[in-house]
Amino acid sequence: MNVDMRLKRWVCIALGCLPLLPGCKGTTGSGTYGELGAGTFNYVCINPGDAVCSGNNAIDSFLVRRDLGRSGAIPDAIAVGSVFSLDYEGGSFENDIDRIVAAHRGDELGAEEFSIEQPAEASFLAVKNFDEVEDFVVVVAKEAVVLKIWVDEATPEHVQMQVGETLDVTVASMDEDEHLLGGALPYAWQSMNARVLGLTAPSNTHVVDALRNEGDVVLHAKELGASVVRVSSGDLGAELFVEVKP
Amino acid sequence: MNARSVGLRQKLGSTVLVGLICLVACQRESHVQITTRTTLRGEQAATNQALELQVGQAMGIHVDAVKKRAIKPKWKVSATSSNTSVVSIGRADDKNVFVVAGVAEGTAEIEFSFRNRRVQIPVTVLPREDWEPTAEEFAFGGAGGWGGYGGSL
Repeated sequence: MNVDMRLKRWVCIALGCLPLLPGCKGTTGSGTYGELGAGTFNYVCINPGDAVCSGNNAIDSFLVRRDLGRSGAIPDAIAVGSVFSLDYEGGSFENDIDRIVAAHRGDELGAEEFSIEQPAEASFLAVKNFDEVEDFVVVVAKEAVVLKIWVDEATPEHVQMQVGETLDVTVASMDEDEHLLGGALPYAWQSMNARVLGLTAPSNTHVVDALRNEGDVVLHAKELGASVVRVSSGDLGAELFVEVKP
Repeated sequence: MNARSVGLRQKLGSTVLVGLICLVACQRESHVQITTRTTLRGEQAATNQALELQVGQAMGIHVDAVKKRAIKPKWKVSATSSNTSVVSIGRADDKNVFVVAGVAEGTAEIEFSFRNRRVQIPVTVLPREDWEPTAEEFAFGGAGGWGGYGGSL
């Protein structure tokens, strides 16, 4: 444990985290303390379908803060089958062979790419020198039971746009208690009337009628009429009726 | 057989006996004291005699060497798993803190060693609970206003 981490831990104790020792579990400004308190784990989005890294502020900001946490912190829960990554800061965890591994190899998709296939509390270990464990963190996976399309921090069924206007929307998965879930699911977006309404990914200006694996999407009102935007992931789905006016 | 050789034989016999008793006694006296360093989660249990956790879980434990009922805090303890495809164990620091992880369902032993002594602790890794998805298939076509715009879509 380096001086910086010792300092953080003592500050944590001083702030009243004593009952939670030894891990002094909680979130730092840019991550989540490991269970042993030796360092911090940072949540990393590896796909733009992850609501944790949504960039257009369409999701209710209260729910984002409550369920997904601050930047870098591990969300309260991620969706079963979603993908995510982690990195770690702390101690002597800096040489080339250091890595983060899942306690259960089945929770690993590839090098530091993770996915939990059923509801579970899964541990992820910061390993150094092949067999030493610097610290570990627990990620909770819950089943996503609903998708919602968010517009201006609400989930309307119907919106109106003017010809030439654009609108930022975001899809997010939620559990049975209507808590937002982290992790990227494979999403398929479709505008059911491409003549009236087109879609673009935030990083692209090419307007299309279908997109895949995006969480944030920009709607483009092309001409007068109506369309429905549909997004699906497995059995889950959501739709938004869009009326385009002059 | 004279009196001297009988005496020698008796001495030898009692020495061997004492040695055997000591050997057995010393082995039984040496064990470990395990204290958890992380909050136990569901399905986790830790005693000085056994550990239990679920697939995918990990727990931090502090292990003290014990000899003649006395903890030897300065003795360095090492640990290895008898089956790393079921249980893995890694050292977390120089103060005998280890992280035990449930890799796959099954049983294995962790061997703690210190000062030429070895203690085996059984570890049970329980399976994750059975699960079937409960989410119902979404029925598209219910977006507000869809019916009213049938002609324009």
